[in-house]
Amino acid sequence: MNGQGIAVRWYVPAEIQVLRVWLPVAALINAFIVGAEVLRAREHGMLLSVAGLAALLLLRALLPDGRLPWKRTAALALAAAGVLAGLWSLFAIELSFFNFWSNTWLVFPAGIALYWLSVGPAASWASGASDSAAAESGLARNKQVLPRLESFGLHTLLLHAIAVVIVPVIWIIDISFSPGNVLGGAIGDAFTLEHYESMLGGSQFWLWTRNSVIVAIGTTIVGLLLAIPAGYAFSRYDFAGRKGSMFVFMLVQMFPGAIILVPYFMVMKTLGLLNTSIGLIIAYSVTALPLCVWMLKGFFDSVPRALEEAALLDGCTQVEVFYRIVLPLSLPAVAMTALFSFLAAWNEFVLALVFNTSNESYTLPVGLASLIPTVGQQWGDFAAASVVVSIPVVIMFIAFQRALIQGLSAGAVKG
Amino acid sequence: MSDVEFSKTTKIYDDGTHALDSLELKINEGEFLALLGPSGCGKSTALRLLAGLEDITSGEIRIGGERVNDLPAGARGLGMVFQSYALYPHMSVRDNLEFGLRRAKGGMRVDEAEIARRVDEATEMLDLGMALGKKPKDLSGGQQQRVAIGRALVRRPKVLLMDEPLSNLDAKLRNRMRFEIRRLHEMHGTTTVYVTHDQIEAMTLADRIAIIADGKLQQHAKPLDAYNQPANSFVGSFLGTPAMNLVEGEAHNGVFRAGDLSFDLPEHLAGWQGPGIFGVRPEDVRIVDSGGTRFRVGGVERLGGEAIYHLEAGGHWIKALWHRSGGGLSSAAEDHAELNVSLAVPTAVIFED
Repeated sequence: MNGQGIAVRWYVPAEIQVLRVWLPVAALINAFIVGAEVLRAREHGMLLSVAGLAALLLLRALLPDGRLPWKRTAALALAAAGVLAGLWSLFAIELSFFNFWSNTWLVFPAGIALYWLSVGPAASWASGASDSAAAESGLARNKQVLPRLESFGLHTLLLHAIAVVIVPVIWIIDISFSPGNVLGGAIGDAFTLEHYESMLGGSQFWLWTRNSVIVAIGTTIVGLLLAIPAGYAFSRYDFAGRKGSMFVFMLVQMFPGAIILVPYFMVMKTLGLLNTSIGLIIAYSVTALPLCVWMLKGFFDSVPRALEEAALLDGCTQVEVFYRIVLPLSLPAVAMTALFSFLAAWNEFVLALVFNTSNESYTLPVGLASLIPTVGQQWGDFAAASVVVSIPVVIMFIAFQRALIQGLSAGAVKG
Repeated sequence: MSDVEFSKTTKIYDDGTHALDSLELKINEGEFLALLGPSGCGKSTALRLLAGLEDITSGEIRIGGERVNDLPAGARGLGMVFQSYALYPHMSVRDNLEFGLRRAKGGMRVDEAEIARRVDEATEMLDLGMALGKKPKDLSGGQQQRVAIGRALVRRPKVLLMDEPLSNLDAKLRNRMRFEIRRLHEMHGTTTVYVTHDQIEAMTLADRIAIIADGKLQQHAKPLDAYNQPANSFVGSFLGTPAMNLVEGEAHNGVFRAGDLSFDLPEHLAGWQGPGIFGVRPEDVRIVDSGGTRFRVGGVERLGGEAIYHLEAGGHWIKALWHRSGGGLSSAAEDHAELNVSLAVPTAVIFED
C-alpha cells in the first residue's frame, strides 16, 4: 500500500458523481435548445444556449479530481459565470414558458455545481483535504445520498418524456374548447363547446363513426377468426411449409404499406369493393394478420402440451381440447390481439383514403382529415372530433390494461 | 380384465431415432409395474404409446386383451398423472376432478349423482376437502400432486399411468407421497404403470420392475430378484447405491484376472472360463484376516450410519460399504491403510457382456 487507504482511492463524493453524469445531460439538452432557438430565429436565445452548452461542457471537464485544488477554483468560477449569465438572461427577456424552461437548464446545473463545490463534503474533498477517516464516512454517506440524487435525476428525465407525449394532447384539447378556428393562444384562456356542438350535431360525423365502428368491429372479428386457428396450427402442428409460411408472414410485414397500396386498389376495384366497408375489413384483416398470428402463436407456445394431453386422456376431441383448455387459457392474448386489430382499423388512414372516394363511406380518420384542407380550415371542429375519436381508444386501453400487460409479458415468464 | 401387453412394440420417430425397439412386456391385472431406466431410454415413450399420445410404428399394445393401437387416447379408459401434473389452471380443483367424468361419451357416460359421489370419495381419500374451491396455483406442490392423482382415479381407469410423478417434489414430500401412492394402490388395486428414473422409487413401489436401456427391455422381474440376480451388467450397475462394482477381465480355473489384479472366484462361479465382467455389490465386499486380495484404501465417504470406502488394487477401483450395525465391510478402516479384501462372496456374479 502506498500510505493511502483503499477508501481514499475509491472515494468520490456523491455530488461529484452526479455532476459527472448530469452536466453532459444538461449540455445535451442545451444543444437541443440551440436547435429550437435556431428554428425560432431568436439571436439572443441562440447565443445564450450556445454559451451555456460550452460552459457546461467545460465545467464537466474541469470537475475536481480530489488531487488538484486549482480545478475546484476554476470550476467554481465557471459555475458562477453560468449562473450569472442565466439569471441576467431571465431578467432581460420576456418570460414565456419555453424561455423559462430553457434558462433553467443553464441556471440550475451551474447553480447546483456552485453550491456543492463551495460547501459540504464535496467541497472539502475537491480541495484535496480528504484523509482516510473522512473517505470512509464519505463512502457510507454516498450509500444514503446517491440513490436519492439519482432518483431525482431520473424523475426529471421522466417528466420531460411525459411532457413530450402529453403537451400535444393538452394542446388539441385546448383548441377543441377554444372559440374560433385558431391554433395559437395560451392554454385555458377561453372556453366554449361550440365545436363539439357543431361536430356532434351534424350528421356527417355520425356517418363516419358508423363506418368506422363497422369496419373496426368487422376487422376484429374476421382477423380473430383467421388468426386464432392459424396461430394454433403454427404453434402445434408440424406441417410441410410451416417454417416457410411463417417467414413469408414476417416478410410481408417488412414492406412499407405504400408498396401494396396500388395492387390493393386494383384488386378492390376489380372486385367492386371500393367505397364499401367489406373492402376495408378484408384489407385491414389481411394487413394485421401476420402480427396477430405471430402474437397468438407465441402465446399458444407457452401453453404446456401436457395440458392438452391430459385433456385428450380425459376424453376430449382435438376441437374440445382447443376451446375448453387452450382458448380459455389464452384469453389475455386473444384480448390483446382483438384490441390491436380494432385499433389498427380504427386509426388507419391511407387505405381508407384511397379506397373511399365519397363522403358517405369515409371512416373517421379520413373524415377528420377532410376538415383540414377545405377553404377556411376548421381547426376547432377538427380538434373536437379528434378528442371524441380518441375517447373509445382510451376507454379500451384502460379496460384491457390488465389483460394487455399479461398478454405482453406472456411467454417471457413461465408460471 | 385390465392387463396390459406390449408385443413387438416399436417406435421410430420421424428423425430416425429408435425410441423403443420391439418391446415385449406383460403387466398383470392389479399389478404395479415400474418402467425404470436412465433418461432417454424409451421408458416414457412406452408409456406415451400405451396412453395413445403417440402412434406405434409397429407391433401391438393390448389392454384387457383388446388391441388399442388405433384407439384414441380418450377411449382407452386410462388415467394419467403427468410429471408437471398438467392440472387445468383455469378450473377449480372440483372442476379439474369432474372434467374427465363430464367428457365421458356413449356407454361410459356418468350421471350427476355418480360424479358427485366419486368426487367426494376422491376428496376424502386424498384429503382435498379444503382445496375443492381453489385454483391449482393456490395449492402446494403436494396438494397439486394429489389432485392430479385424484383426477386420474375418479375415472376408474383400467390402467393408471404415472410419468415421473414425484420428480417435482422436494425430498421430504417425495418420500411421503411415495408411501401414499403405494397405500392408494393397495386400496384400489388398479393396474399401474409407473415411469421413473429413480431406482429407489421403482424398488419400493413396484411389484415388478421393467428395466429399459437404449429402447430395449433389459430385465423384467420382481425388484429384489432384479437386485440379486441382475440379467446383465447394465442392470447390475443401475440398481443399487452405491452401484455394483464391475471388473472386466478373464476367468481361468477359478481365478479372475483383470490386468494386474487377480483374485479367487467364489465356488458357484469357479466353473466360469474365458472373458466376463465380474460384479460384486459394495455391501458384500468382505475384509479378511488372511488370504483375499491386498487393496489400498484410497478414500472414505463417511455418512454417519454408514461409510463408503474407495479401494484400489492393480489400477482397479472398487467401492465397499461399511455399516455401523455390522453389515458389509467388517471394520471401519482408516484412510491409506492396506486391507485384505475378499471378493469371493456367494452373491457375486459374472456377466457375459
